[in-house]
Amino acid sequence: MSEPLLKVVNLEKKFPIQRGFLKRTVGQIHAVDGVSFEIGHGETLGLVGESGCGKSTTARLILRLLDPTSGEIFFNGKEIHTLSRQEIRKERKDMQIVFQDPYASLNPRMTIRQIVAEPLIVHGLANDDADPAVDEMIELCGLSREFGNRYPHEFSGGQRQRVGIARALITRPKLVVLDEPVSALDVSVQAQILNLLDDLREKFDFSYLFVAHDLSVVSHISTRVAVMYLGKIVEIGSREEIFDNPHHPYTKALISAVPLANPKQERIRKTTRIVLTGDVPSPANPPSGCRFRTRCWKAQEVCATSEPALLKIGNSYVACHFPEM
Amino acid sequence: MSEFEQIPQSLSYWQDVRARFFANKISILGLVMLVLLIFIGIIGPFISGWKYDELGPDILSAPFQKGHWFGTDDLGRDLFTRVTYGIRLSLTVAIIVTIISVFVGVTLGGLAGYFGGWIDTLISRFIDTWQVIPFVLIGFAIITVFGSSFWVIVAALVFTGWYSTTRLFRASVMQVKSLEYVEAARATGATTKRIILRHIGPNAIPPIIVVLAFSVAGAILSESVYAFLGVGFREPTPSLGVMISGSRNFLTEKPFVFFIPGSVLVLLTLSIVLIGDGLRDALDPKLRGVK
Amino acid sequence: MSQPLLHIDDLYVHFNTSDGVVQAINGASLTLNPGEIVGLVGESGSGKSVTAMSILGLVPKPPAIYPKGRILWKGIDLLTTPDRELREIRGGEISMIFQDPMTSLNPVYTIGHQISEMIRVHSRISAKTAKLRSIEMLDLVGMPNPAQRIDDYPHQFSGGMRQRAMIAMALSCSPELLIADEPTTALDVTIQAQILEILEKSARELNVSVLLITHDLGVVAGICDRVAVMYGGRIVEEAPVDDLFERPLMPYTWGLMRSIPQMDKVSTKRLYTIPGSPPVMSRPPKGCAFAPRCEFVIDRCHTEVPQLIEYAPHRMVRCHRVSEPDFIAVLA
Ligand SMILES: Nc1ncnc2c1ncn2[C@@H]1O[C@H](COP(=O)(O)OP(=O)(O)OP(=O)(O)O)[C@@H](O)[C@H]1O
Ligand SMILES: Nc1ncnc2c1ncn2[C@@H]1O[C@H](COP(=O)(O)OP(=O)(O)O)[C@@H](O)[C@H]1O
Ligand code: SF4
Ligand code: SF4
Ligand SMILES: [Mg+2]
Ligand SMILES: [Mg+2]
Repeated sequence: MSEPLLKVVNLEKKFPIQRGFLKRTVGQIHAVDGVSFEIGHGETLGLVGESGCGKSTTARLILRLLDPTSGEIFFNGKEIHTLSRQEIRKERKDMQIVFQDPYASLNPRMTIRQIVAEPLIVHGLANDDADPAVDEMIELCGLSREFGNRYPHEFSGGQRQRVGIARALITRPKLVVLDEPVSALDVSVQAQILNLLDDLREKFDFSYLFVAHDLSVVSHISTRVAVMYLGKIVEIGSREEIFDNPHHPYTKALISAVPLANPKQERIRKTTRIVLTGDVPSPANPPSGCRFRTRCWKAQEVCATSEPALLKIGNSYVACHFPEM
Repeated sequence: MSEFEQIPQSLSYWQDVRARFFANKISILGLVMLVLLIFIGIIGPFISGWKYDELGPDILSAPFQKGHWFGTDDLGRDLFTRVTYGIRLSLTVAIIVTIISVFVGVTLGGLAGYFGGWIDTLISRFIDTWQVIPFVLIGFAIITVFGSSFWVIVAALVFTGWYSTTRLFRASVMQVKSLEYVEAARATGATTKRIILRHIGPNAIPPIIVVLAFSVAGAILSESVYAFLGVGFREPTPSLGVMISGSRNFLTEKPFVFFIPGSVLVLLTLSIVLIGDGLRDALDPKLRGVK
Repeated sequence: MSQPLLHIDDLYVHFNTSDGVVQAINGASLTLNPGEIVGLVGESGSGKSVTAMSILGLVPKPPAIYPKGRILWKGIDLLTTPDRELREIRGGEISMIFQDPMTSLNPVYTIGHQISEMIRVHSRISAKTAKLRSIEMLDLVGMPNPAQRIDDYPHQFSGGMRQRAMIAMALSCSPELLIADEPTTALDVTIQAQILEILEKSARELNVSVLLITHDLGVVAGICDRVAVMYGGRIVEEAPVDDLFERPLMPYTWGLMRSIPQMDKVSTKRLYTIPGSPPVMSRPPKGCAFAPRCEFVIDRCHTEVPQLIEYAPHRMVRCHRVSEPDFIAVLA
């Protein structure tokens, strides 16, 4: 295989926990702890995991919206982690992001056309928002160009998310990071956005990093899937492998927990469902060894003492001492 | 698409703000009151036919007698003329104080809010410390040493006023900065300058406009309080505070000497507060589109 | 069957707001029988919460007005019941759990205190007995070490544990009906699975009826006996759970089921989409609320609100076209 578009090696991010009058640092949240993966050209990597496991942080690190504590990010032949603020600004033409909350991610004082045009103007690709490329992109994303002069508050959630997508795609980036792009939308509107993302991928040949907590959505859109737990990737593989033949106990539990919209099947699944006990531990104080051991039904002594490495099993990479076969 | 048909016609943010401000009857009342007071302040001295420090023969004469519309004070000075000067003085002091406080507030608050980290810690702790200093006592000392000149009063008011604007602007910037669209702008590759000018500024400033109005009202009141405590303007300067303070000796016999400058002070601050209140509602994006 | 436990009869709830009249509920009817778990599904703003809050008389009036309709609780109209009596029913015979347990737990009292209080408001027993019962309830909902955790404050619990405490509290007075408004929406899937399991188990064990409100079709498929689908302030379809998923009869339900991606049927095919977005309830469509988005729309749909009719035994549908002989075949 040729050089992947994005390669992340041992990415780490610690947030300080600050307290008191002078904001002393009293501890650290290890939000992302040694994450490595690759995304090839035209590929969609789904990143799933429960709330707080570090999905959004990983996404922001890749774009350098946050600075990594350590680790390397290779994108499009550049070492993103070494670039200065000035240099990274230029790189953003090729890597864009769509946010979860379509209400919060659009500046209420700017018109739709100004919002979509901003990346072009910022990168000197257009002088103002009258550029024909802007209206074209607005229409491609399923909005009428007549609404270019309107303000975000006049649109519904789904329509705003289309604006967010148009803004991310206008510079024809090579990588688009989607941080839960449909989680805030109504169920009947999600499909519209998922289809739009599919169509655009076909048309422009982007790679997507698709962050989500909804496994059904991820299974629909991804070509490969990475499962995160407490700042680490516990399993990564092709969509088919992850969903049909999960190896990591956590992946298995996660998939089994998803309620299917099919009552007959649910009745069968219910009898075999793996219901995990307890909650995700705090990332400020993760368990030793395997981080999943406090909830894992297969945990043994070795799980508490030694951290499992991400090893190849079948077609996936799995971090577990006793993987399911 | 039919769903678009439901969407009302688009107004720009400021068009919308203007429309909503002018739809608010109470704030319009405030605006009319203020304009009238300013008008009286400007033309008053020319039409009254008296000078503010001109000592007349009629002492404590009641309003509408002997050519004194508002009557005279204990030295026979024309109260109308003095009140109109008082309006000028109060507004001038308040506006200058507010401009300086806002300038300081926007700079320090903006720095603290935008950069956070140690800059923020430094500025915030400085404010905490500053707040506990008893400025009224220090004011006494300063005025004893430097006298009660215009600029000393302005300085005293800025000393006690700058930090609340700083606090507010810091909070406003911090709040806007943490919003997703600012991060989105960073993600598009926008420069820091563009982010501040196009994204943070326009969204962080509206709350400040409201503060501005209340700060003007606050400064007018503080000036009077200071004069009353003897650390503000002094005779014969015709400030509203000085007039109110001077009336206390004959409050029971000749209440109009107190009530006339007193009501002007109340009307002046009230008009500004009403305007500020209307602005707050008009600028609130949550109320957009609400009739 | 005997008398229904709850019968909502042609309910209308409107809100007077500065944006005009929000017609949140526009003729909703729903029946719950003893011991049944009924799902109420719909998108945000469709009126699920307003329906639930109306049952308990928790909708603030004003801005709310009730132009029409009845809510019959064992034959008594709750809408005309005096507040004092309603308070007794609320928390006693009918109890409720919300999406965000933190908003309904008092942060300054221990969990144990709050559950005991709840029990003692509705039955005259000693503090000691109430405490024992609280521990019992916490045990029922799978709280580890209930005897110790009872002295903890809400902030010391995780989201999932708080929701368990809420369920324990809601079930502590042996209610006949439990209304659960999106009880798992704020939780992660693995925690959701725990909570749903506990909710179903304890409800079946104690023979409590449940009105489970959610926007997630998967959640209702798992534990409900019957499902009502809400759209634009009306129930548009109601059926036993198997029938509904096998053969949706109303175009909205049909479209919704085809548009959600399904993990078990992985396919890269395009999803079916319902165009447009849900109606704005201050300006609802004149006829069928779904008409602007419906691919089967006919002229009549724009002008005339369809009635909720019994298409087949236990199958209620609100659509002008279900009675057309070959329409159902189109939806198959
Ligand atoms: N700026 C920050 N300061 C301190 N801690 C942070 C910060 N951002 C994230 N964290 C912490 O890092 C961890 C990972 O957060 P992240 O937002 O990446 O989770 P996530 O997987 O995206 O979760 P969600 O599904 O809720 O969006 C969490 O414990 C979070 O509280
Ligand atoms: N207190 C209120 N004032 C005005 N409108 C309200 C109020 N509560 C609910 N609504 C409106 O009623 C409609 C239905 O709301 P709700 O029942 O909460 O929906 P959901 O189905 O998401 O639970 C929405 O349009 C909502 O905005
Ligand atoms: S390493 Fe041990 S604790 Fe971790 S997932 Fe595997 S079996 Fe479970
Ligand atoms: S009534 Fe008409 S618009 Fe409504 S669902 Fe039926 S066919 Fe569609
Ligand atoms: Mg996130
Ligand atoms: Mg709701």
